[in-house]
Amino acid sequence: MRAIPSAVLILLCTCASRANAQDARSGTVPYHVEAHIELGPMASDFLRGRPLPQGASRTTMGYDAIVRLMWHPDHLLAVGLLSGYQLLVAENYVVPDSLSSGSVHASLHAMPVMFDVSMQVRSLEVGVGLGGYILTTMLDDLTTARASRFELGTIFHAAYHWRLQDHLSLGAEALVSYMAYRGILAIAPQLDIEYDLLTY
Amino acid sequence: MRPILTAFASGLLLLWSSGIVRAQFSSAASQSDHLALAKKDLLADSSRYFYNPRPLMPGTAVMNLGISLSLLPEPLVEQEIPAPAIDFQYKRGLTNSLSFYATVSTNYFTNVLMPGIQYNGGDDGLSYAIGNGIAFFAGYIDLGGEFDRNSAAAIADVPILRVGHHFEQVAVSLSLACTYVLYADTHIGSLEDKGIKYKVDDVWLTLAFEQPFYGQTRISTGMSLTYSRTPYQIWMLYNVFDQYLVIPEFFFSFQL
Repeated sequence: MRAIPSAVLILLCTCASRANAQDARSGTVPYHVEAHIELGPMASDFLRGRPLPQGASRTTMGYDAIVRLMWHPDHLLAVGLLSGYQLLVAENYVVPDSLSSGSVHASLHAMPVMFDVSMQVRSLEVGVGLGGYILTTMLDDLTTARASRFELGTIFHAAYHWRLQDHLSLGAEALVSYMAYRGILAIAPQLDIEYDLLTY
Repeated sequence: MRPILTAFASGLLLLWSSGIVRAQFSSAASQSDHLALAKKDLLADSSRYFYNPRPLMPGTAVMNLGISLSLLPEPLVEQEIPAPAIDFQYKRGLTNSLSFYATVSTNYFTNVLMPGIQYNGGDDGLSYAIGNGIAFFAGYIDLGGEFDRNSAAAIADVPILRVGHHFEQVAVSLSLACTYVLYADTHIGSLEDKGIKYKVDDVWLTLAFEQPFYGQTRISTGMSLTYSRTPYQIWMLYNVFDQYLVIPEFFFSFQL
């Protein structure tokens, strides 16, 4: 529920990007199918804290890799699918018991599966992904325990692109992930490689 | 010689003046036509949206068909669950200021019909509307066992206030509305409840973006935030929270 103010903000930003270029695009600019590959480090904040292990930091570091496939017709809007991989936290703990030395490796991963909508004005792109995450917890002791669960979530992203070639551009992107059920807010500065797969 | 020169000069003058007059007349006429067409286009273009409160030209209509996803509140369903619905919206200009609107929303178990009238004013820079609708709600679900034959029906008065701004091709609108329940009756098996009658049950805020998507096809996208004591989307659940809950809703519709 805390995603709502952010959603409003992103929608307002989307609006603020306006339609100045829209007339120029309309009727003269072909349709595109664009692929985005995005990579970067990611900082996650567990808004309600982490109950286990005791004394764990609220903030963790990880990384993410996102892929977006977008259909961009002759106006500002583009729609598509967003997925990828996010490592939220990976830590080693010592929990000694009678059977082992107590070294435990635990990690939390997320795979977003979302419908993405973005608006592109000149070199600026602002968008929102709606859908969910497949969250996987892995606990590696003497054996490995793994648990997965689908939860709703949102991704907001804003990027500025520089065109390198006719079909290739490079962008700097800010990506914000929100996982409502667990109260995780993750922020990732990313490199966004955009390639026009198809123009018609 | 003099008559010839006079005739030649007169001819030149006539040609020149007629050319000027014709050009001026033609220019003025074309400017006037162009302005009239531009104004007509502007009116026709800017009025072709459902949420944007820019006055509709009398006789013109807008129809949207799309889907909405409401996130059911966490306190009632343990974790947020999306509840989908199919939405149909219709708006027709009655006069330069008055328009009729109607919305239908259904997912089979929950059905809402809301016709209304609104007064529109303003221009592309700032448009506004104040309206009132009557919402008819009906729901039915058979869960079997002790909870068979669950049904709900309600009628509510829905005043609404809209403001909007039209960018070059993106129309942004903000709507604020509430429901005052005039009649409500819920049956859960053999139990009956009329608890929310004569109360304000919901207040909601809608932010909508309307724009061309591809070619001449236009879409409406946006979200609503509903602040409700008894969210109609989950009428079939046993709600013991006598408190206001927040229900976000995302919508996406195509203009027909």
